[in-house]
Amino acid sequence: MGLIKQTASQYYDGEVIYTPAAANASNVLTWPNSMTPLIWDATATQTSVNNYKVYVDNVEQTKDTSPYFLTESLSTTIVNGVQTQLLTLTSAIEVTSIAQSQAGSGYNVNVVAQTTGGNGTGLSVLTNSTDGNGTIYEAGSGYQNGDVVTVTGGNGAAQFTLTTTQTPVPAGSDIAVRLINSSLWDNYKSYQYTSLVDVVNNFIVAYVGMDKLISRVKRSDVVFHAKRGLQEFSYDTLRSVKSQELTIPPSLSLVLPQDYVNYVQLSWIDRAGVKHIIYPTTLTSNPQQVPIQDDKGIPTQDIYGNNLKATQSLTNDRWRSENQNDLTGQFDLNAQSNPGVYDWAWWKMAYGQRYGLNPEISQTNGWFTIDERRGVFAFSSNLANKLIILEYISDGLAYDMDSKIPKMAEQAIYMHIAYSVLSSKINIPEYIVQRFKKDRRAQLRNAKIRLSNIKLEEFTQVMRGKSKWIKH
Amino acid sequence: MAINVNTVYTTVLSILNKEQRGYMTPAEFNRIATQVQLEVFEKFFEDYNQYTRMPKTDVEFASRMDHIYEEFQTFMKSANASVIGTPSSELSFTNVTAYSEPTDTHRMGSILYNASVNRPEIELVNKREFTQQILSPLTKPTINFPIGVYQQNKVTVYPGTVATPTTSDVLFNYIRKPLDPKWGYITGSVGQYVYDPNPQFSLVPSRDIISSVSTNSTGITNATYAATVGTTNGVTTDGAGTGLTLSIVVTGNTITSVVVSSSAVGQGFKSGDSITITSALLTGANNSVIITIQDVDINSANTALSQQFEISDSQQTEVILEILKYAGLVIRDPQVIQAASQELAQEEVNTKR
Repeated sequence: MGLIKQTASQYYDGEVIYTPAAANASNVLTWPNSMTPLIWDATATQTSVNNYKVYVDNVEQTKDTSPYFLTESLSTTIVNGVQTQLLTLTSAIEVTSIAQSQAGSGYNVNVVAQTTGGNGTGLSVLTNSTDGNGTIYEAGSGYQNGDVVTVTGGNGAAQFTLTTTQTPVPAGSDIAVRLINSSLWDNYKSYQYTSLVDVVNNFIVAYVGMDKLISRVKRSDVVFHAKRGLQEFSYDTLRSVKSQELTIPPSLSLVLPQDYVNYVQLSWIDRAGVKHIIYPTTLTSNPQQVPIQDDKGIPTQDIYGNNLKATQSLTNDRWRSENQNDLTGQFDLNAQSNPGVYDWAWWKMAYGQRYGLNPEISQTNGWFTIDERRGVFAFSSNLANKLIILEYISDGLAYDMDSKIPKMAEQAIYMHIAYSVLSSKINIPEYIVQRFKKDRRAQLRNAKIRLSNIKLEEFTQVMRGKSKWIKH
Repeated sequence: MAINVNTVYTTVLSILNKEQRGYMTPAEFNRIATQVQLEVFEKFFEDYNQYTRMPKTDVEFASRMDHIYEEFQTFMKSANASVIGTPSSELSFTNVTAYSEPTDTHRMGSILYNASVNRPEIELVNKREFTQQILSPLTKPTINFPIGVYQQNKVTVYPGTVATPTTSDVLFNYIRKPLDPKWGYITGSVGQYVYDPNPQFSLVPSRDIISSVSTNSTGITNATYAATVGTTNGVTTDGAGTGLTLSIVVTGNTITSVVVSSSAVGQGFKSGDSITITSALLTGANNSVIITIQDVDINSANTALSQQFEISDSQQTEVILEILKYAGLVIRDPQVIQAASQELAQEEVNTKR
């Protein structure tokens, strides 16, 4: 049985099309469980985490889109281990016209007045007469045909009778439910990974049981070792480098990403889109504590006996305001036009500018440090407003979507779990433990080589640039 | 194939009556047979444990592991929880629910979580292990790796994800206790005991048990449906009963009559057992139909009915010898006890060699 469960169209399009046979006010669409599950937030705001969109005849639908005003309801049920998702799309009942059934008095003209009464909420009118008559301003929701509402303001006596309509999606229309790009893209690359759940299940089936080296193991132990393995592998083996494109603000600091474990590389991007590496520096550092001292140098305390701390570090302030050219030795145009540029000054002797360049310092790409006190990257002043790419590693466990292992490292993780279980189990001969230790190491090495993605042609191309002759 | 209770009883009597040693009444036999069946049944698990630690063979019919598994597979069952508790909150978990094990559970095997995709196994832990596990972020239970605290015949599942729990959220794999064997009889014309082979714990033949339908359904296509418990697709029971055929009449898209077959009256049913019939059989049913068997439906009032041994006939020799051993006690004949014990010991040596 093949591992691929999706049809080609499900994979490429990430959508399901439903064609109603009749014009129904509600249409129920069954989402195949072979596809990425739908995620829906009942609040359905612009920032909701919905991972799909609904189209009727290729026109995107929201609850405010005329003429159907589709409301959504997603039901996810799991029966006997089988998940079923039903998406119900219902054409909303909209207030389409109002007729004044009772006039009031004393209303302000051209103001938005709320209404009360009826079965719904949120209907407001724009008054055009002092008797409270007006037009629909906000249609609200939940009203039924014939509802009578009262307009607030004035003498509070103006009333409207509502006329509502419900427009069902016509028979034969194409209702398409389509995954949004990020979900679709996740799906595109999904086959190169195997999930942590599958790894644990596979391991228990293949390595645990009667007549096997591991006769019995707690499932939670396997889960623990699998997760630890994923963490360890994430640091140096897996292709789990994450990256963010960011702009450095005038404050010259950027908060560490939520799932940050360590950085790989920071680079600023020039107009051609080319990366220039930003190096960490040891020229300055970020103090973890900045106590406020008295004139004798002793930290001062507040009324609760705790040390008073400054909000700003003076070291940081000075570093931020420093002209980086003084450090790198780079001459700007002004300096070059300065007739005294070559005269002696103590600061020009500093940091190895003039006599004996220090490559660590003599570069113009800027520097960064990690301010552990505030949990931010701190950049040098020449990087203000620069576009950067922050590449960092996480541990693979931060999000559910992360808990996946490249298939090229699958055997390595099995061996890691086997070795971890055997080495912590009682009465296992040491030679068995050592055998699995070697297996683990060999498989990890294989995984590293595979994931290094070294291709012979690419390698030879690089080596040609080194003027080396490689036969291939 | 189960052991015929009449064969055992007559064999025991034949051996006992040799040289007019003594006699065993049906009532004595039934009590001893129950005891012996349980002894043999319990021994399956000890033997199975021993065999797992012995060298094994893959040769057909030679594997002791397979033999012993075959012996107790009759008693293996899967069933949903019998009762569910009220969801509550505990620590960071919400909707935590306790599910009671099926009422006929004898030995618990594994518990599966139906309320999670692909039905993962629930890892059973005690309360102390549970506390330790939730303290570690890496071993905290998740919907894919649920854990359950098993105590007081209930399993409390973490993390509780089901806001409206049902008994079908968890599936128990377990072993039920064998039914007590019974040599049923009627009194003959000259006062003799005459064996009655009709099964015990069967339903009253041809009885309409519509009053026992605890959950009916609507939307069913009008027809007469035949349902045999344990055979027909979509017809299951949470008890031990088998072989019961029902004729279900649907008129007005709902069930109006459920008539027990005149011949396939089943065996092993008891009051309180539920028979669930899903839409797999009842076309168009909006929900599963549940029949909860009542006392009046059971034909057990008739003491004449028999219950066969449930253990397989490969254990017949051992059962007879064990009964003889006890029979020797009943008739106070040490020779019978000694002979039976020697035979049993020899058989034990052979099987464990």
